[in-house]
Amino acid sequence: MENANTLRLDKAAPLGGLLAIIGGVIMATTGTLWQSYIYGWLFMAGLTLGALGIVILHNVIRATWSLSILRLAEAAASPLSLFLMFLSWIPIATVGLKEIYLWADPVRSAGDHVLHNKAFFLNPSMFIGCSIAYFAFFIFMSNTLRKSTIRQDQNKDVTESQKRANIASPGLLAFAVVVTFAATHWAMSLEPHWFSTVYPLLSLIGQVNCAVAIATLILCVNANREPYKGIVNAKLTKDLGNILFATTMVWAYLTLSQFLIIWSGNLPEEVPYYRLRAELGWQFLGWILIWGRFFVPFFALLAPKTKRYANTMKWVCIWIILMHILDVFWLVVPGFERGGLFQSIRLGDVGALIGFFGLFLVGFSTEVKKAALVPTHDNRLRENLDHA
Amino acid sequence: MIHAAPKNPVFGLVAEFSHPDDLLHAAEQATKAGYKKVEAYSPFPVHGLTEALDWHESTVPWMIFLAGIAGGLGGFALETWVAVQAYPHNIGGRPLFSWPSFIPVIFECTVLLAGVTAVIGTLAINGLPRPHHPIFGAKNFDRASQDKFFLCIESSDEKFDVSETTKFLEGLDADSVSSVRNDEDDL
Repeated sequence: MENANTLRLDKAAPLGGLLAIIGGVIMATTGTLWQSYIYGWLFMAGLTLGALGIVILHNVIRATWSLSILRLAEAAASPLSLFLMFLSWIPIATVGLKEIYLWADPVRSAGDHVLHNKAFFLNPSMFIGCSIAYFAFFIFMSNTLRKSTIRQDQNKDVTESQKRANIASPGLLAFAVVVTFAATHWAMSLEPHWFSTVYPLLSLIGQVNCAVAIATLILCVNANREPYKGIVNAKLTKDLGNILFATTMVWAYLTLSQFLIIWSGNLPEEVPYYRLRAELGWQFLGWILIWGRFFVPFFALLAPKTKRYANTMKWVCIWIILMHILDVFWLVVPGFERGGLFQSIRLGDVGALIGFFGLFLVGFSTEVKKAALVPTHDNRLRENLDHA
Repeated sequence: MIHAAPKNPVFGLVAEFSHPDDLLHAAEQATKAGYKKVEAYSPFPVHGLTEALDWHESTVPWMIFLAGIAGGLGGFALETWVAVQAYPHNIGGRPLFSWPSFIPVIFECTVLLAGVTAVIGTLAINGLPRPHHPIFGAKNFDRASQDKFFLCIESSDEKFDVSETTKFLEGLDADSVSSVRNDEDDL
């Protein structure tokens, strides 16, 4: 209970429910229901998976930086949170499927040769069957690892760490494969004629980057409260800053790779994706992302002074989160062909973000109370303090 | 490092310790007392020692940063000159100034120049390679690479005074305090 007070999340679950309802009402009444729904869902499901990636990674590498945010990532990617994402996926797979995905609508995709050839993967039963398998895998990983860390907090049995590593190491590999298929089904198939093999990894790294930013933000804001007071110091914020720095660079590397390969190849089946995003104002969003999603955090995190203080790290994290919201907008929304950038900014999308954030908050705030915020099975964070 | 003549025949005063915590404590006290030219010698890295010595050296990071920028701009300039001026070729109908395809080379040039500068800059700022150093003459100093810990307050420090500084070091529970002479060639 002490943990819950620290993050002041006592009333967060009902608040999250309220936000979900408000978001739902906004989406339903502003005319872009399914487009907004899939945007919000992809954003939040992506963050949940980014957090799951951190949890799995931690159990392989057991680094102290990942240990410091482990409980936040575990709560964000808890079985409950993943189940909520699954529940909110059901409308996408049923009533919304034809509205959202061109390939699922036999009328709109009639006579389309490319979609006909892709139909063995992009068809409703494959989509539903695979998605259920993806979620089963995610929930299995999340449930196994979280139960084990909590058990080890209580019984201090060190063999638990090794057991987790044995599951998490092949699990990390499997996670990358499953996320690749999931991102292809859920996000890339929004523009079903287009394809890019980098796209799923690119989405994943953006999500991990944003998930680390959110967790670091929570740490930095609560740096003067127990239990974080004892562990947030210049060394930890530097480590977390370096992880944000590295993931920002990988994001830029993959973004550029995808663009450069398509630009150099100049093939008719690949370029429409960028043609669509290079005109009618979308190019401004592209430039905002190049500068805002890469150069600003890159130079900010290059300076050791930024990473030394929780107070400055806080602002970098907020910036990264805002940029990630725009990044997902850039990935998803141009494909809806609403028109130019300014015609594409709709209230429904804001509603979707509010609603799905609310849904996320329900899972997160319920789960985060259930375990010590700073894991007690691994004392390295506190030992660091003694040597500092 | 090249010192201006005439020089103090004393290089500095050295205190010897048997435990890393004593060295850490002594370093903190010396910093607190206002000494700036303080150096610690230890057989292995001691956690927190850099902070205790309040050691700030930002020359090399800035050199690396500026070299990286120069490398990036240089790579970009080279490519632009080659592609637009020196060897203009029509490649698949693309414009001569196709900057997206320049980016990988810009990146490589940035990393190359920054990396080379990091190595050379670190050596140069530290005055390396340097076969001999006055501290080697300190009593018992060969054990700095085995099991002893040394703190040296150098005579170039503004606050340095042989009797005062000796008294200060003796007050830090040092095993011994001794004076180190500068090399005669340097004097």
